[in-house]
Order: sequence, then C-alpha cells, then structure tokens
Amino acid sequence: MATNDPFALDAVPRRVMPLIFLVDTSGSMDGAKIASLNTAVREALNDVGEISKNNSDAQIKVAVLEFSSGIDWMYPQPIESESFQWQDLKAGGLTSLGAAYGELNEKLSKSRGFMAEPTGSRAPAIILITDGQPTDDYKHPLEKLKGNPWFKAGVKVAIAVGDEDTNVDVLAEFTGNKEAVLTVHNVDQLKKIIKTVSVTASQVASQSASVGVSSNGAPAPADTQSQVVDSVTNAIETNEDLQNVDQGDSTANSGTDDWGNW
Amino acid sequence: MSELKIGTTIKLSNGETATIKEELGRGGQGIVYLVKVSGQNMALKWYLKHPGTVFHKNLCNNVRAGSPAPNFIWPLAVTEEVNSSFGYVMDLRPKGYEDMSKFILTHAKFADVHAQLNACLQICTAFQKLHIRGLSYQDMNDGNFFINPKTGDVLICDNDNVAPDKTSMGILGKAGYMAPEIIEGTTMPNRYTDYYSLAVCLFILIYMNRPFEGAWHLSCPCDNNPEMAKQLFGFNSVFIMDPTNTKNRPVPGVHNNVIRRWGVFPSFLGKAFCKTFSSSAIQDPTQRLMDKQWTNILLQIRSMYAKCPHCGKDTFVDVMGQGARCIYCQKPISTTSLKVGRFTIPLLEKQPIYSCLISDEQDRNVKAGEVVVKGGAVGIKNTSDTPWTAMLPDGSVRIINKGEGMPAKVGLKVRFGQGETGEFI
Repeated sequence: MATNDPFALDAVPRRVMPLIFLVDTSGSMDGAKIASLNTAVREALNDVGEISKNNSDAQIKVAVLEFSSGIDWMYPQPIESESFQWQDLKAGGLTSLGAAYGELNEKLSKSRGFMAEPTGSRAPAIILITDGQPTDDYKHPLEKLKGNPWFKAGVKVAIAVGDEDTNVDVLAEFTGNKEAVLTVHNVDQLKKIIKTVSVTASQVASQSASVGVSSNGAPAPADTQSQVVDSVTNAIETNEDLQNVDQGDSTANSGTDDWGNW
Repeated sequence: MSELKIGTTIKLSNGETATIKEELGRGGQGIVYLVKVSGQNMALKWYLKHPGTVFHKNLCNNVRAGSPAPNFIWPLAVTEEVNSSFGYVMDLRPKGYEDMSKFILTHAKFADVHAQLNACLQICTAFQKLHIRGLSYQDMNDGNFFINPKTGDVLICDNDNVAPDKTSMGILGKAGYMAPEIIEGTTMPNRYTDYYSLAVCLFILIYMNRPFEGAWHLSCPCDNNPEMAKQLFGFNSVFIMDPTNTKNRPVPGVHNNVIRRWGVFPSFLGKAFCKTFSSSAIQDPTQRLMDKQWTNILLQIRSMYAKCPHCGKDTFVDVMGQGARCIYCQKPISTTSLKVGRFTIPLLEKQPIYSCLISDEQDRNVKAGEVVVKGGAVGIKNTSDTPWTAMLPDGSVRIINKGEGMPAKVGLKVRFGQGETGEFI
C-alpha cells in the first residue's frame, strides 16, 4: 500500500546553467598552450562540479566547442559538470571564430538547442579562449549572436593567450566590455586564469539574482556579467599568481609572452 | 588585501585574544577561520574589505546586546582593526547540523515529521524573539540555517547583518527569498520583509518546493537576470497555489513534492500560505502572517499528527477541516477533541498534550498529559505536577492530580492549573 507515499521526496528542481567553453584549437595553440589548457580545464571542472553539487539554486552543465578550420562540440549536449569527462584537445588548422559564433547562436535556443531543460534554464556562462585573430568572417555571426537573449543575459569572458596575435578589441566585441578580456603571457597564468574564471563565472551565473542595495546605497550589481568582472578584477588585484595578467586595455605586461615551446 | 596569517594573534573587544589556526571557508564577503580563544575552538569571520563604520558600530551593538535566542550563532566579540579590516568571533557549528540547502538538494532529510515541524517551530520562535527587539534579520535564505535532520534543532548563522528595522546593512538578498518590495527597491529591510522570507523558508521546509516557482516561472527564461527576477519575484509574483490565479501552478514531473504534499498537510496550513502569499499581501506587507501566528499554526499541526486508529501509521487528523481521513489508508477518522484556547487536539491514544498549549510554558516540548484509551473509553491523563480541575455539567468539580485521569466526555470541562480551560467536543 506504500506505493503512494505522501512524503516521498524528489530533489527540489534546479534550473540548469550551461558553462560553455569556446576553445581555439588552431595550429598556433599547439604545444604548451593546448597542453596546459587541457590540464587547466580538467582541473577547473572538478571545482565546478563541486559548486554544482552544493548549489541549491542551479545545476551546472558543461559544453565545449572547439574551433580551428572547422568547429566541433566535444559532446552533442551539455553534460552535468560533476560527471563531465574532459577529452584532451589537439591543435591544428585555422581560427574559424565566426563559425563558432554561428554555432553558439544556434545552440543558445530553447527550441533547437541547449536551453530546453525541463526544470528551466539559466543564462549561460561562456568562456572564450584564443591566441589569435579570426580567419573567417566573425562580424556577421557575432551581430546575430549579440541579438540572442540568452547570450545577452549570459556571462562572457575572453582569455587572450599571449598578446602577439590577439586583439583585445576583437574579443571585447564578444564579451561586451574590455574588462572581461584577460590577456595571459605564460602557461602558469593561463592555467590559473582558466581556473579563476571558470570558478567565478560558475559561482555567479548559477546563483539566484542578488537584490537590494549595497551599504553605500548603490543598487545591486546590474547583472551577472559585471559581478563576474568585479570578482575577476578583485582576484587579479589580490592574487599574486594572477598579477601579471593584463585586464582589458592594460599593456603593463605586454611583451612578456613566454610559451616555452618555440 | 587583508587576509590573516595562520598563527596571528588578534585582540578582541571582550579583552581576550584569538589565535588563527586554519581557514575553514571563504565567501564573497570574507573568510571564516578556526581560532583559539582562551583554549577554546571558535570561529572568526574576517571581512576582506572593511564594510564601513556604520556596519562596524551595528555589529558592536549586537555583541553588546547579546543573542536574542539560543538558536542564533551570535557575534560574541569584535576584533581590533588589523590591515584596515576587522572580524568577529562566534561559536563553531556543532556536528550533526546540515545546511538548509542540503535539504533542498535532498542530501539531507528530516528523520520524521516531528523533526520537520520542530525545525519550523524553532525558526519561528527565534525570529519572534529577534523581532521583539526591533531588529530584523534582513537576508534570510537557505544559506543561513543549519538544521539537525534527526531532531529538527536549528541554528541560525550570518547574524552580522541583523540590524534595527528599516536600516540597511547593505546586504544583497537572494531573489526568491527576498520580499517583493525589496526586489522592487521600494523599501529597506524590516520585520515585514522578514515575515515574507520566513514564509518562503517554511514553505520550502514543509512542501519541499519553492513557493513562486511553477509553470510561469519555468516559462520565463533567465530567472537570474535582474529584470526577469523583478517580474517573477516582485509585485507581480504569483504563488504557485494561489486559489484564483492559476498561471504559476506546480508542474507534474517537475514540482512533485508540493503536488504530493499539499493535500496531506491540514488544509488550514495551506490556507495560511495562500493568505501570506496572496496578491494583496504581496502588495501590502502588513497582511502577512507574523512569526507568532506561524508558531500557533505549527503547534496546532503538531497536535494533529497522531496514529491512525485503523492502520496505525502516523497521520494528520484534521479535526478542524471537513471529514478527517488517514493520509495512508484513507479511512475516515472520527474522534473526540479537546478544544483549549485556540487549539484543538484530536484525542487519539497516546497523543501528547503539550504544556505550551494549555499554559504559558515556553519549552514547546514539555508534555502535561496524554490521551489514554481504556476499554474503548477515551480519557486524558495528567502527567504534570500541576493539578487539573475537572468541571462536571452539574457544577461539581474534581481535582485531577499527577498520574490521574478523567474521561473525555462532551459536556465536561477541564481547567489546567492556572492556565486555559478546555472542553471536549
């Protein structure tokens, strides 16, 4: 008779927040860059899994889109961060950033894409990692992407791997503001910034909105994007390991690139 | 950057010192360290950025005033300022307590309904004591409560934002828990905004779904976008069980717990939530139920949780509703009840009669008597040191001392010591 236990319990439904990595796997990423990226994301995902596991507001699922001469999702659908198995990426080919933007726009959709979770979706956190300039037309797909409401509401951070070929302005078009573009100059910084950004973006974007006023009377942070930027800025200022990361237009560490594999 | 190094000793406002042992955790605001104070392990919350002189002064005031109730893990001493910041010392969370968010994730579960109701009662009582002081908690949410799943004992943390009504310590609250008028930015936190958050927490602990997350919430993308959050949780919010507006109803397959449980708990509990989350109470905070009212409702529910005389399982015997039925075997349960003050207690065998229902006893777990059944006849037995007075219809009286009982017959009345007078119905 206990088939209909009135006190049977399901976990309270949580919205799903996709954490999406857009990873440049063009030829120039080959060697130390892609190797340390593989290590760093794998490690960062352990932390993200922990955040997801203990977050009563939202669950974090992970998706990875690599772009070189073409584009490829690591898995066709986002996967729970706790059980995500990172497959090492290999580098080779061109930098089809425009194609990646187009594909991302397709998937940030309730009807055709990643945002059709039965328990509801939360705007994604998107981390773009690249060491070069796009070799295809990125402007047009980016315009379309910027009209996507999920993208607009989401958190966008770009990590420029070295300052030799990257262009902060091009990446700021993606993030919406320059402070969300972080330039690293060696593998140590790359690893640490991947971890910092992954964890911060996951924490902020998976949480329920903050409301109210701060102690100086200022309104609540406008959106998750600015919260993430504030938090990353704070980390760069206070964490010794991140001190030589350039944020936005900063060129304080310009020319210090050392990727150790030329 | 104002982190503290392990081994640092720091002076406290009560004249003692705290030595930093290890980091226990960190959040947006600060770091919590394990510290030694006079040989005892305690917790120190350290602010990474100085939260301002107003905040500091308020914290010192709270330390001076002391804790309103034992449930609060209250700031016990403020530290001196070092590296242009400061912190405060409090007790460590004892073992056996789980974060309320763990209950939401079902990583922790109440042992039984008694533990569940006890947790709700303790939360209400603690906040009632806080509110009597003219203070409000300000940002109540699932991160502030530690609950013992076995007993329902509750500890309340993060008390550094507690402040007099309508002053803001600048804390940002969590959408879904904060009152609509905070979401809309029309008021500062006060006890009425606390009443809203309290009802949200109680609803979650009882029905195990969120009160404003139903079909409408699901259909709205990006609920953590501030504009969308304003729509979903502001003045336009719609309670999932609103009797008239059905647009935000729980969705089968998603919001299963509340669908199962809504009809299981006595209907007056559901009505209380409908009232406190009604569109008029969303607009007008003074219409919300206060902590004291929730306490009475919960005490009533606890008294209705009894053994089914048919199947022997614990069930709610809703003697105030229409036609009480066992939630398991569905058989009707008819019983004599004791009506005393605002409470009605179904008289089923072994059902306790709690002192707090018949006197001004503050400890809610003290029992004054219990229901006894002898040869089919129902009676109540005094197990307390306070004599009861049975009043017969002919005007005569009889004293019922400890260990003695009296029949529960309609027409008889009983006076519980100097306390309430009850009658059998």
